[in-house]
Amino acid sequence: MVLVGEIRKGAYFDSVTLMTVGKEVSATEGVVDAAVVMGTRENKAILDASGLLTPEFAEARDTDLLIGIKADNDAAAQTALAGVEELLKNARNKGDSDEAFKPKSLEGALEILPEANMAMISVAGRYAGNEAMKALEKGLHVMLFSDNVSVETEVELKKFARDKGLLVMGPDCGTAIINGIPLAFANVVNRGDIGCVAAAGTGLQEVTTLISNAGGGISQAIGTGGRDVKKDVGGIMLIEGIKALAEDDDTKVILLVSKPPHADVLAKVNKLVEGIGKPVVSILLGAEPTSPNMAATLEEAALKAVALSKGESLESVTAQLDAREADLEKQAEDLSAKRKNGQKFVRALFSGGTFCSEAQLLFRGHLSPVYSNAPAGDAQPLADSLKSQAHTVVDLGEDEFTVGRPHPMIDFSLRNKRIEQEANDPETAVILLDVVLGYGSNLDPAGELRDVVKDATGKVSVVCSITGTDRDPQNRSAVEAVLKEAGAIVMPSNAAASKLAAYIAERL
Amino acid sequence: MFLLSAGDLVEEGTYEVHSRFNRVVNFSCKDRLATLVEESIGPGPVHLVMRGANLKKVHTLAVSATTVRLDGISFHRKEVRTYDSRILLPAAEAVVFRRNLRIMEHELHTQAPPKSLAYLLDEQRLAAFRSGFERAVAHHIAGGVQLLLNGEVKSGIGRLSGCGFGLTPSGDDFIAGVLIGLHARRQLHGEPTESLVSVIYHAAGKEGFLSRAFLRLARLGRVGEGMKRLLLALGAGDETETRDATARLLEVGATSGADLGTGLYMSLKAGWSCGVVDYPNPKMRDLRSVPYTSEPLLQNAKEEYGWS
Repeated sequence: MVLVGEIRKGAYFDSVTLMTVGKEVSATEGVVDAAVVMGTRENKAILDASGLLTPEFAEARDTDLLIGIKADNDAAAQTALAGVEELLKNARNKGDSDEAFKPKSLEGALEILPEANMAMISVAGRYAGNEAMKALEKGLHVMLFSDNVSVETEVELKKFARDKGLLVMGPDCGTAIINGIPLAFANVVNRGDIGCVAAAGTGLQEVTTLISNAGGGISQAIGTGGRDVKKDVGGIMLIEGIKALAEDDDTKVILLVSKPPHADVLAKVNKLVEGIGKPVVSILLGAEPTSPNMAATLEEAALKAVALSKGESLESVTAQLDAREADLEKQAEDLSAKRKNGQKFVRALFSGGTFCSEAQLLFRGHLSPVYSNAPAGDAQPLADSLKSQAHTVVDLGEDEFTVGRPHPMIDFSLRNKRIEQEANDPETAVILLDVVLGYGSNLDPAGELRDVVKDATGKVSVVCSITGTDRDPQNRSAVEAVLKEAGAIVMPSNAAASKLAAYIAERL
Repeated sequence: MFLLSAGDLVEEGTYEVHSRFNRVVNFSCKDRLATLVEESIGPGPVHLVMRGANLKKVHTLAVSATTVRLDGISFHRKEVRTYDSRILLPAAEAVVFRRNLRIMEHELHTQAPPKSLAYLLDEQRLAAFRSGFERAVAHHIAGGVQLLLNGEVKSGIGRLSGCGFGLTPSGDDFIAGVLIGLHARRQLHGEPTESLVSVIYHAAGKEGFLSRAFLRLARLGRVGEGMKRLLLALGAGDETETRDATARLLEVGATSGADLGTGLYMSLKAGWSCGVVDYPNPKMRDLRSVPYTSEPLLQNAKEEYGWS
């Protein structure tokens, strides 16, 4: 056993730095124990008791920094000592950097930014409610990215917020665009006069980007969290969001995006909408449209909102989409002719949960049976999420795929493996994909998909939609070009891609 | 740059840089301390709160009766707000104080940095101390606190002084917290804690310029704005005020705020448990009433290191 020590006269560091350096050095191979402390009397006593007091340390003063290392051999000790030097230098450089102070509490943050009026919270669910309430008590709106927040806490937060005239977006709210700023998973879109309230994150991304790409613009895009429209929560924030947009001078058209809300919530929303005085378009995924302002797909909803914003008729949208049906059918005819005998199924692999639902709803009346790990419409539960069965629609954002790993919008590795697996299945005819761009998403989707898509298109039809704009970090047009070159069929929306996939398989 | 406030205990002198951190520069003039701080730190007894100063590049400080001169730029003290660092607390209502002390304890349990002395309140936090030396330090401090609780003030404080990591060792921050707590108890509950303050202060070691300075201020019952806000909240504030003020304290330094907070909490809790007591004897009988969770720690220390 070897003991080495060094005294640094006049050197000083904060406690966490010293403990971190000591811990890292202790973990070095061959090191038995290490200490980096000021040379006070008591610290020297502990060094002595720990067998780390060298003879030189006895004369050290309280202003001296002592480095003591006990190791298996001299080489290990010297390596560790050199390591300490490096770590302390890095710590000093970090301290010298121009990095701004990062507060560790809401209070500290507000001291630096007293004019803030919103807090975005992304901590473990069991703490999130408390932090959200703190922010509301200080008069801040809240975007609650965290999930695993109880419904009781959600209701408490939303009622409190409502009484104070504040918004709570969430829990599990991953998308919002406030005053033109994309928050969390969101896209760079045009500013304009269409305000959105959504209980569906990817749904909100789809409609906002389609609106922007169609020449419209977004005033505000408010997320409510998926559970808001259920009976327990009663649509509190959906209603507050609608009211806020109704009062907003910059909003001329309101667009609602949700799965079908509970009947009580729907009744409240309908009553509210009657008295607003602004046109309201709604897409309630899975519900049959019962008026011209309702849409059957996210795409239709977005285009209707743009039409109203431009003063055009809703019928023009219907005509446009009807005309496209013929094109889709023709395209499906051509693509199905390329498939071999035995190829008959659609294998849809989604990173966005809303797209997964929308695809299943559009498959109704065209494909059967359909299985999914997140069934919607007529689909049945998939027995094994890792193994497709007949027509299969997989939401790769579900828990079984995301525990301990990044979301599939960020990390493509799992989906790429699945694409390969499905392409090698002789029964697969079509692979259907969503590619979601924007902040928070994978920064090189084209690069990561190109090779696996190219391999797959030699065997199956790969149909995809790209949710995004050219102003997103990934640039929608650039991604489209790469995927087309790889042989993918790129459609303008999830609805169009899902329909095409269904029409191809129908003909096999 | 602007000098926003000067602490009421900033003394005259020509100072030199003692130590420099991201948001703080400590200056020394013999035994006198003056500290240049960013706004986010806030006022304190020896703080000079600056706006727009590059603290990485400040080198000289001279203080006279009328001016503060920083690197050749003069500020007139009359034009600068003076921060009153005295602890001035109204008597506390027992129910409110107890509730708020529980809130402070909860915040220490859940929000204190992993390697702070909050393990004295929650043994599970000991897991953060991994290396042999770190565990030895943790046990040593626990042993010192146990001696304190047993009424052996000099031995306990002697063991805590200068013990721990950082430029101001954790043990010194803990003692400062205890002293501030004793001052607060006198004002909140009317307890005659002056002699105890004196005993503790004199038992504390005199190592480390910063530690000496902070302990001197704590002995005098002089505190920064953040601590003052916490003490006011504990005595008469609501739950939110108490939580907020504790959270701000925990942001001080790397672990200093939490170590200070732990000492403060243990000192206040002792006073709460006992009510008003007469102290003919400076032994700390009152702290013995604190249910102390670290008995195993002391036993461990005895076995591992042969301490008596």
